Amino acid sequence: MPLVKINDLSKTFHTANGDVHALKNIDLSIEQGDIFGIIGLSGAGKSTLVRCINFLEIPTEGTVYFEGKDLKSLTHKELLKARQSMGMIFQSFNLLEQRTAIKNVCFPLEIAGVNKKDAEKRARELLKIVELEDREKSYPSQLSGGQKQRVAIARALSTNPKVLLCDEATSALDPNTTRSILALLKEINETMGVTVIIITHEMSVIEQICNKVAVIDKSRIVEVGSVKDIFANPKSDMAKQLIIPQNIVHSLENYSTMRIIFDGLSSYEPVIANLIMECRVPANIMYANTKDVNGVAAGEMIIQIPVDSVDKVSGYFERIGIKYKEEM
Amino acid sequence: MEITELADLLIKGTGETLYMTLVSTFIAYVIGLPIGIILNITDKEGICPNKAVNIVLGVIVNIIRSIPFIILLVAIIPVTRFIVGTSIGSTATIVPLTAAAGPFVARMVESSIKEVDPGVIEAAQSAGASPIQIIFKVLIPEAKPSLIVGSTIAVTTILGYSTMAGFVGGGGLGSIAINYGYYRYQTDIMMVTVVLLVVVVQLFQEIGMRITRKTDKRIN
Repeated sequence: MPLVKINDLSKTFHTANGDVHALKNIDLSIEQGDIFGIIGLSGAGKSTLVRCINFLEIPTEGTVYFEGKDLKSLTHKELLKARQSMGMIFQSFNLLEQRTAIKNVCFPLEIAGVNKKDAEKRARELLKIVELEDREKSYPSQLSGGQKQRVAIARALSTNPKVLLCDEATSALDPNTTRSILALLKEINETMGVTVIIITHEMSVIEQICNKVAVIDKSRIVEVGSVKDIFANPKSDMAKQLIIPQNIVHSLENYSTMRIIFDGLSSYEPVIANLIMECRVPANIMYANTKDVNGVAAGEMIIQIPVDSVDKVSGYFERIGIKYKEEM
Repeated sequence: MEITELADLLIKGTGETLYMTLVSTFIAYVIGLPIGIILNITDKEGICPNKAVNIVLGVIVNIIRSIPFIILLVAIIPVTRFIVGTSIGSTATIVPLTAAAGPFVARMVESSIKEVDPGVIEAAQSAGASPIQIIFKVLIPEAKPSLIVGSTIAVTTILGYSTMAGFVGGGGLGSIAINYGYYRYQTDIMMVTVVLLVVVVQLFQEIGMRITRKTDKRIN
């Protein structure tokens, strides 16, 4: 049974300027333990979608199941209870400004009726997990953006939720802080078994921690699958736009462009150097974004090669087991 | 008039003014705080939108606020007599002061609560907080510094109103200023009462600002 299941969900906002269809016919299944990314440009409807999961927005049509329960069938009280099993973090952190870090983490526990002593004990454990145990008496105004998000994560986890909803949680942070927050989310997913749902407009966020991804474009889901598959072979225009680097200088005459994807090859192997030596082609690197993840190469590269050597190069890639696509 | 006599008069007047102002402010908050909160949460952007309640309360508040205080003062004399037994003196003045200040306080509270970041309210909702929990654990505590600034403004405004009540025998420094300064042309006594009023207003303002600075955790 999927932890979160969304069936044919639509959401329409009635505004003074007419109806706005924020979401149309969404179907999604999110399994226990997933780190599920939902990516799209701003205005695509992704923030509305994540709010439909905890019913902060009530869908106009369709059903949301959480742990097999239809959220629409719950009483208001049961819904509030269900929300305690769903933590949420935000782009702007949304901490209570007049409470210290530890009191912020205690907040959902107070809501759930946990007594003060137990709540503070739990809050201290969580502040330790997010590495802020020495800042428990600080107010949000005394913390940096990354620290605030760590407090927000601790707060969202205090009631032992099954799922953590992240709404553009790293969009207000610098690249280094983003990496450390994402690493923390991954650690929480692995050690505590919390399912994570991430809303983002940045492909790098999806690449770094998600195992599955749904691409949302103009209120609809246009593609969904494992990050590996979609990254290697994006089918929808939106996925291509998000994944394949745009604005690359094209078309030297009689050259053809190839996109090669590294996922799992040893990073010690000099792929391009071998290609040039073995096939004797003048390969031109137009774009490269590769990382070494624990000794394994990950990422992509866009190269240009003479049209007449395409077959030779394809053969070489097939032989050494690299995914490639002739592009553009 | 002997100087000691004058001093006694002024001390008594100051005491009455403080009594009227503080008691009226307190009662105005007992009435205005819940009304302000209801106005905020029943707004269409609020946590319990309810158009009917919002409009009815809003209209009542606006009507009372549009009546000039000096007219309200006279108009509700029967009500004052019914509650206090007389319409003269500082205790009687508390009734019209409260009637005028309650709706004013309600609007001040409404706007203070409106300053609370909607994102923080959303975070509380996502944690499963009920509307009552949001009011007492989010809206009021988060708006506290702004509520205190508001109460400082309210208390000085009510002080101003209380002096107007001097025209209809309301007691306090306002009565002294009017009776001695206006009717008997004793400008010196009027000046002294005005100076005393300035001092009292300054005092309230200063105390309010100090408490705000102490409570607000956003500025460090």
